[in-house]
Amino acid sequence: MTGDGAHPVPDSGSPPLPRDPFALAALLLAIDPTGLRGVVLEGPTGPAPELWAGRFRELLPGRPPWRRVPTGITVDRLVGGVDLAATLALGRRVLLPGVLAQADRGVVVLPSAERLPPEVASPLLEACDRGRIRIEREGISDDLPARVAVVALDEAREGEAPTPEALRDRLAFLLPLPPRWTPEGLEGWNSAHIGTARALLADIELPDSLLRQLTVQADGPEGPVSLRPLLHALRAARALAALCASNPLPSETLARIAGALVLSPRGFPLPEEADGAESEDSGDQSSPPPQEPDSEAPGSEPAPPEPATREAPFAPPPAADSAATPSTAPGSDSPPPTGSEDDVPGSLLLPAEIARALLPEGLLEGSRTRGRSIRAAPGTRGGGELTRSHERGRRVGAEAGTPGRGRRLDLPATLRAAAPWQAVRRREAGATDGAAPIHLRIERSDLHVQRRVRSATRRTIFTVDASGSQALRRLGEVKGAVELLLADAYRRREEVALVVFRNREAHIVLPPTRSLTRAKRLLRGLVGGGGTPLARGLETAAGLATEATRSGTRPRIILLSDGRPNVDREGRGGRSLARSDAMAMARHLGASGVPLMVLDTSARGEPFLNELAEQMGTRAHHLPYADARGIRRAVSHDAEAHP
Amino acid sequence: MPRPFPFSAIVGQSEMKLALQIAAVDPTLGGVLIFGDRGTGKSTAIRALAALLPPIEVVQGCPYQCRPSANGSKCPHCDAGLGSGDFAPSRTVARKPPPRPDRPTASIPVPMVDLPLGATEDRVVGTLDLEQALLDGTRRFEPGLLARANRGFLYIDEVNLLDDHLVDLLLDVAASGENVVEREGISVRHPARFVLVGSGNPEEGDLRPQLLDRFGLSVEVGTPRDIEDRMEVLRRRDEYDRDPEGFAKRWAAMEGRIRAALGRARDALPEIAVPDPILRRASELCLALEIDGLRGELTLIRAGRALAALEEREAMIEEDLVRIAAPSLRHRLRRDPLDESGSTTRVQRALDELGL
Repeated sequence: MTGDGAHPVPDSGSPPLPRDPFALAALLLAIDPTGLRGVVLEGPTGPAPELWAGRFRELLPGRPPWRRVPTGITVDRLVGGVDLAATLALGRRVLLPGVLAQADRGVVVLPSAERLPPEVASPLLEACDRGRIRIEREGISDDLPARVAVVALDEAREGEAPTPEALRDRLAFLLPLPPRWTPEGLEGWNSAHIGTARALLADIELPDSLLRQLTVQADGPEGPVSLRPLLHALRAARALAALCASNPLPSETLARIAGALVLSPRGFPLPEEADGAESEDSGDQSSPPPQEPDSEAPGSEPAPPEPATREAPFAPPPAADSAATPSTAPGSDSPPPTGSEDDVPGSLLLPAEIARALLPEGLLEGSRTRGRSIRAAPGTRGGGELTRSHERGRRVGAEAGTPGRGRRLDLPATLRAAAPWQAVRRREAGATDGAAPIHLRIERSDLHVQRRVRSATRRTIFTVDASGSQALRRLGEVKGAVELLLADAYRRREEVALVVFRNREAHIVLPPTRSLTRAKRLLRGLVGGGGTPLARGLETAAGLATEATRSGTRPRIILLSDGRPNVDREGRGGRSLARSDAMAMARHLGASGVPLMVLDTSARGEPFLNELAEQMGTRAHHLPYADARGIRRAVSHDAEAHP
Repeated sequence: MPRPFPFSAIVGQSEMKLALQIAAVDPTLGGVLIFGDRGTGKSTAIRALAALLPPIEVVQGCPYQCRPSANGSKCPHCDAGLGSGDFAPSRTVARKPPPRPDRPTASIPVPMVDLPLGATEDRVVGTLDLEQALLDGTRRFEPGLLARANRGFLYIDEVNLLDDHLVDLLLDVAASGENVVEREGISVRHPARFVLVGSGNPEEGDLRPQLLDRFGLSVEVGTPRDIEDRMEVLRRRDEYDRDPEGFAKRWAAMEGRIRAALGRARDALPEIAVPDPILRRASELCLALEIDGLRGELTLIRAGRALAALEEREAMIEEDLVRIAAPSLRHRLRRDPLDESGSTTRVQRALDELGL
């Protein structure tokens, strides 16, 4: 670091470094918006994300462009397309730059980022990667600068998939913003401070030891994080160094803070933890959720502010040991601790305090709950899975053609096609009929029809009884059936999910996916045995089905069980309650209209399953030796019955 | 435009780098598919490659970058001899090629054309040139991305997410080397031979088998696991981000070396011999893996020759075969979702069984 008085430093009156990680992230992102690329603010709709965004905007020097991307934005508005008005007026194609190009050197705000359809996500990713956006649409070819920072508001609730992983990977900060967050921590900070830090940014040199510290942190039991977050952590450390240039922090502290902000929320806790809580911790962490024998229900985890967090495995003990004593800071290549600690304003004297201040609030709860769910089920749906189903029946573009036979006229596209010709046609028409050029002259060749995503996506929700002795074999075969279905899912736009119920709980072991690769990874090492919470399983499946319907996907539920429930909806043991709860859920499902299929895997056929199926408006198929191909076949036949 | 990250500065990822170089040495190979983890520098490597290739000679003003020496290239521009591309709507393009030698030529960088996911069909295949139509009422073809990619590279990031109708279109063109346009009163066919390069993350969706099979080579990339490697990646990336020009300068010598090697390999390629025993081995390998069709064997041989050329050997050797086996074959294996072992393992197993 070269923050030694040679540069203009934030004067001694500059406010103290915020303890609040959300405030600090706002500062760092304001300093290096194009390097850090942005933030995912996770949390319910409400004032907090807007407060954060508003305060962040005030920090940016020079009033840069600030564009909100509405949820239903079309690709041509995001990327750019034909300017209809100008094209009509001038008689030649005129480019109307899209939101991304308009926001060059500024910020785009993305509400409901978790529902980003792939055709919208893709240009965003391109802008993140290249800082430019290429337009190849409707006869227009251009390449415009689009250096944007993204503020993504992720309102996904528990169980719903978060923002596409491809985007999360490219933005530096994933912040679980508490609903009651207020920007107090940013009091006193303004764009002048940010401007000063920005000016220093280019000259900050970081020691190799800092890089090593971050790299070590970014290596978890399941393998290291993608390199992008690591690069972001490095940039965050640099921005922080620029921010504290007048009172440089030891490089170790820079790394800890940057690591806590960028890497911890991705499930890579600060390394001290590993020392303190290795045994309990690594056990918990290395086992993917499907293997967790008796972990709490997903439903019991959602509320971040749990007081117990500090003891939780992910919460590192305050970094007292190393960071408190500057003498343990890395030797020769650490920055000279110019300005004794006494110069640091406020109570944030000790690096340890800063680190501690940053660690507990919000972030670590985030890394605990979110972190686990991220690593278990990376929301890779940015691809072609659920997001694609969002567009079912939705217009995704236009192509030249005549309407009729189920093809619907696309009026804007037709007008766009006709627009540039108006001058000529008027001239031509004028020669013959001399009519006043009032009407639009649209010819057959202008006609465009709407292009829709072809067949609707179907979501097959396998709901599998993993209780008892047969569980493992049944699971193995279902896993095979899932993979067989996915192996040619590309053709039928089919996504598959797997709910497993056993003991007292039902788990979504495989969130809806179309990727065989992903299924194979998540289905490794399933465990079975224990009680039979059938109602719980059906309830979880019903949840996935509802989510599917809401997003335009057609769900169906396949239940595999030997039909001996003994755990009720509340997770209590007892056969009769368990049965009546299961019946109630079955009735509910039957009424919901979701196609259902019951595969009875018991040896001799279980009458209860027949009753259950009846409630669902279907009947049970007896499939005692259910093997992967058998299940696959049964399911395919059923699919033909319910196209 | 920002200066691309130097190819030689990419840490590790040797299989990806080798496959890209092989595809550049032999453009008829069918391109490269790069599948793998996020943030592994897939796009970076592909963009970097373009900067390494020697410039190509083209007929000046030809929108399809025709080779000056090529006769009968089916190019509407060069064959028409008009230099303007004018032609009436339904006129066929087949005309007698005019005398060539007097045609001015130019030297241009190898085209590296991005096909964005949101591209509309008219920009991909080309469309009516509106301005011309409005100006003087002539119907003129405005070439699209396929034309721009002729004799170069067509790069599709997130190729697994590409719309089906664009995939179909690409398949047609890639198979025939020719783009046939019939739209908006335009009737054109023009050469469109390009090296198809695709990248994507398999967790976001699989690629259609028909498209998969088109790619000559397929590479799997992963995040480097070694801490020192990872640090080196970060160091270089950071250095590049902060000073792209200076960084490029520091790597210029390395880049020059690779560029020269690629040039030499291209020149040597036609002379590389493939001994009969190697041919036999290639067939045995494909048989062992139950790969349908000849595409597997052809790719093995072509890629092996390109590798031999890159390493300045006069003939392909067994080691070449072993090294290019996985990238040439792994995407052609029959899909058996119940087989737990990855395709790379299966290729390796077959190699072991053959004693290779």
